[in-house]
Amino acid sequence: MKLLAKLLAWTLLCSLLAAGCASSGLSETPSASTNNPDSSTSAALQSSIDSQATIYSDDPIKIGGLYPLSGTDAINGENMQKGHDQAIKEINAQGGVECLGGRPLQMVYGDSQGTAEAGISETERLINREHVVVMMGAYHSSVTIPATVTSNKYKIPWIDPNALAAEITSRDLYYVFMTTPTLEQWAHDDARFAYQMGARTAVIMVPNFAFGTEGAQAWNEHLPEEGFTILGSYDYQFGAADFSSAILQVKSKDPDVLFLLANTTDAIHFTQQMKSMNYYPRMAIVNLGGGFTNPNYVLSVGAADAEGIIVTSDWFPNENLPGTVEFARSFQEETGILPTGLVNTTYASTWLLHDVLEKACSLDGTVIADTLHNTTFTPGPDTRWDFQWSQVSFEANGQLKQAQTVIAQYQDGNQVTVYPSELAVEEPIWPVPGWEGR
Amino acid sequence: MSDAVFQVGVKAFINLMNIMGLETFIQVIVNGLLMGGIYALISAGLTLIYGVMYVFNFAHGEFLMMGMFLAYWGYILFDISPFLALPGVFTLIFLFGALIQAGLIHPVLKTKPLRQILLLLGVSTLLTGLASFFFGTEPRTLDFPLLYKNLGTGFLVLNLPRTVAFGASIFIALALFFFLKYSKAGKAIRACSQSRDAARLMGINVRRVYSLTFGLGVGITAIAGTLLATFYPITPTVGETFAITAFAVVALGTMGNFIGALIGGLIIGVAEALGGFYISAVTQGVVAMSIFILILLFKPEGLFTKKNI
Amino acid sequence: MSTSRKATTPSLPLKKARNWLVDLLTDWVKTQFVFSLLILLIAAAIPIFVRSPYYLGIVVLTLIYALVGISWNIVAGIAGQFLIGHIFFFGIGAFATMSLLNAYYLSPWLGIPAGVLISIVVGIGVAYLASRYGLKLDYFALFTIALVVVAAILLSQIDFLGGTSGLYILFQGNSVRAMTFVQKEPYLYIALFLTIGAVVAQYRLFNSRMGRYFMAMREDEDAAAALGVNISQYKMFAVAIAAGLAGLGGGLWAVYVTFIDSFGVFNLAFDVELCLVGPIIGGLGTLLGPLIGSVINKPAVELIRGAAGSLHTGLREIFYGGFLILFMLFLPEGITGLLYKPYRTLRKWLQNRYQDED
Repeated sequence: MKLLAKLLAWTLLCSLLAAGCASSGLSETPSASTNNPDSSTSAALQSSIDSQATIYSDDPIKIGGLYPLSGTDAINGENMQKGHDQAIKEINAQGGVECLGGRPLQMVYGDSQGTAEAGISETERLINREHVVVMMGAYHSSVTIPATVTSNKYKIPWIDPNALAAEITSRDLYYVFMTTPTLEQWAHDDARFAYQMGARTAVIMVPNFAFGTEGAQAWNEHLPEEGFTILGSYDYQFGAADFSSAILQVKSKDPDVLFLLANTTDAIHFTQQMKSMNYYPRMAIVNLGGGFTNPNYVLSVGAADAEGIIVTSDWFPNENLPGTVEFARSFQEETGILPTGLVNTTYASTWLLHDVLEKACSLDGTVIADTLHNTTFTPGPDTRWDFQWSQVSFEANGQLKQAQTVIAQYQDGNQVTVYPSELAVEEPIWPVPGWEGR
Repeated sequence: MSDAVFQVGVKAFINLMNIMGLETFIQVIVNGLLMGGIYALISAGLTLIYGVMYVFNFAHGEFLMMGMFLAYWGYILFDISPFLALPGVFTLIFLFGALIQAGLIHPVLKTKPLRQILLLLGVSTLLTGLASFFFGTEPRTLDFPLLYKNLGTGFLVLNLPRTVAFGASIFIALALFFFLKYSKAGKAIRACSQSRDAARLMGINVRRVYSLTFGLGVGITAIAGTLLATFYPITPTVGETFAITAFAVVALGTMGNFIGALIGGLIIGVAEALGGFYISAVTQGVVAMSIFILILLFKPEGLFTKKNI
Repeated sequence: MSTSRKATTPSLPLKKARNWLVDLLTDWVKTQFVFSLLILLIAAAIPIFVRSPYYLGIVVLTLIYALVGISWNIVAGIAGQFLIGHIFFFGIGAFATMSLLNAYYLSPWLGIPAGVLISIVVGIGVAYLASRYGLKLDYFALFTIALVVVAAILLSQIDFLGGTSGLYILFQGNSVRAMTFVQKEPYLYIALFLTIGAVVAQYRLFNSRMGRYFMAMREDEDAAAALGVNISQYKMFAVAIAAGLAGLGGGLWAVYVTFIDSFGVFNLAFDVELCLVGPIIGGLGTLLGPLIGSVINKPAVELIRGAAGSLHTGLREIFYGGFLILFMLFLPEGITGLLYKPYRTLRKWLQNRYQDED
């Protein structure tokens, strides 16, 4: 045994040296002057990208995807990958980027592990070793914020289709774009919807991590604007063993609507404990995506218990829009999952990227960014993102103007669109009945 | 006539309680006690191990997690109700724990304590990693039909699985207590905890006793996990949170003191519930740790006297 | 007195040099120190041959991890204190630096030392509490773990420290004042400078009186006390030094990574990976240990993750846990212990060859 341990230790020592040496080409871009590091780095980089294989060739155009591929959120990272991969598959099947000679696209992924440290390390790898033309990702705002700083300094455009923090675009980085709505927007529309349905009093209950606090801030701001009285705004310890205190807090205030946020584990646990304590708000429970939109949620609690819960996102597979249901079905057939929870946005953004490359007809980061900033994309016969957006254009800070809020409700185990009325396919169940008889 | 008076009286009483918030107060306390029972059972195992082997099991939470997963797979694959699975879970984890003790822990018991701590941290990390690797990190729940049944009326609602878990915890903890006090094996364990060398001189195989103790300690923790799985979602990292609470309970109840662990568990359960409701959710998260720090600083012996095994 | 001997004896300066080298190499501690400096020299030379910011970034992280590893090695390996929750001090440095930068535009050149000072003060406080209330061994370890858990939650409630959303650096581009650089080289040299300092400090500690007291405390606290060592005072020194170095690493890391949040920093998994694994693999309590442990561990993790596309969930934990177990069971001296055997052979040869003369 001791021998085994020794062998292991020696192997470690040698394998490190081997790994270091074996990595193809330690030396990178040619020596650059140090006078103006910023431009010389990106200049050297740009020239290496362009010269790597001249624009018209068969080599695929590489797109970087930074996602949590290990750890607690690995399942979400994998789902986003499916969004990307399906789009890439279709793009390449119909000829790649025609303007650049029909070159196909290729996703190259990096594992962010859910941390900023790994995120920037992988971003450096994707940009400098893999020579990706555009970066996408990274699901976690806490990773996207620092990683976009890295990509911006290399003048590599970053299109974020699934991280929600406003800071991603509020920093006014020229090369950073966001195709999701912000929490602000969702909170505002939630409030409007619930008010329209007749609710007047609210209690906010959020977990004490970033997504939660930001959601609470947004709700606290927008609910009174729409006419609500907030009876109480609380947070709960995420992952707690017992939510009864939190539930009792809500119960004691007796609101029309409970505005709730939770990750998947807590969403399941919260629902179960509310049921066992026989508490349901007078009218409904509303939340901003997160754990309640995870397919695992409805599988775990069952359709009956999930019935009536309101979820907010930017798209649902049941919308009153032509092509929606077909797209959702074909996506599910191809990948095994429904394109919900921003997987749809990821797919749409990848197709959008294809259109951007066609329009820009270049692999230069600045040209691509200029194109994104200055173009209004309207759907044509080959457009595949129009199931989600009627057209695409960006604000100066990189935020997609057409990012929208769609509100759905669990009915019979499905997330069914109920708002806005143009997109609704069902009437909302309102008020949502309590636990009796479920 | 007296019947009607009685009805009115009860109604008035309930209304009075409502106004004073007493009803809620009692509900909060009861919830805390129910949770505290589970904490007590988890901590009983931990305190047993420390009291006998003087080793702080930093991997304790992971045995809880294994108990939860065993309950899950037993239910999903073989349709075994968690309550029926208890003996099986106990046996499996008992054996596993004994093996780990004999193979990994015992060799370092004579060496520096820092090595022991780091070894157990390694066991903890490894077990969490294995669970993540094989089972993934998505939460799982037992679709347990009894989950929503409640005892009691509108006044005081007792969630059935939690109440059963509470009852089972207290029962098992007491059973363990009597086992240690009166059985032959129990006496051997207590002998070892008092003096390792004297026990050895009396012909007791200390290594075997330690394995028995460790297995016992983690076995009942796994039972707590199985009970917990009836109402709490299962993930590979679930052990960490409960283990940390268990640390606090054990310190509060005096390391090595069995009854202390029971009472400490109840205290912390109630403190968390009260803090979570009346102060803030954040309090619920730090209550256990704050009590822990205060105990470590001001009364490290805990609330009771040492050695009640 | 044979004349033939004179003809083969080298000249005096060369002989002096040779003797100096031999004396050095026959001292295990000195040899480790030289080896450490060699490793750092290689690190310094890497930017000459390697331009890719990706690889340079890995070197930066490795150096920072080595720095933090050294700090833990001092308090746990040399002084034998069970400071398991070491990330507590790392985090203090990180949050101090970032919050001062964001709130008061205080340059990290001042902010990082401020973080170090705060860490040291907190470290002294922790050590004082431990001594005053008699927190020994396991209890001390638990206490430090509790500090980490509480810090994570409490810091998430303080807006000045980022709340739940965390703190990120607002500056873009090159700014020496804000210590943000477009290229990796400046970070590398700063980290290198600090790590060289830490290595030298650790070496000096080894040979100093304080170092000997630390080791006496580690081996047998009561005996050391009986021999007149002021235990509480030296515990405080050990914790303070380690806290300061960890805070230093934390401040630099925060500025490099540009984003920190309380749950991401104050968690036990990160604690194991950052503070514990490196020194344990390299050899806890040895001079070379933390450096060589980080050099082996960090690049391996980064490169494997990059090459494999991802590390399967749980794989890292399996390796770390496995290594902790294996090393604590069989190789408590770590890689440095492994290197000792061949070293001993070398030393014997040197002694036979050169130290038997005159």
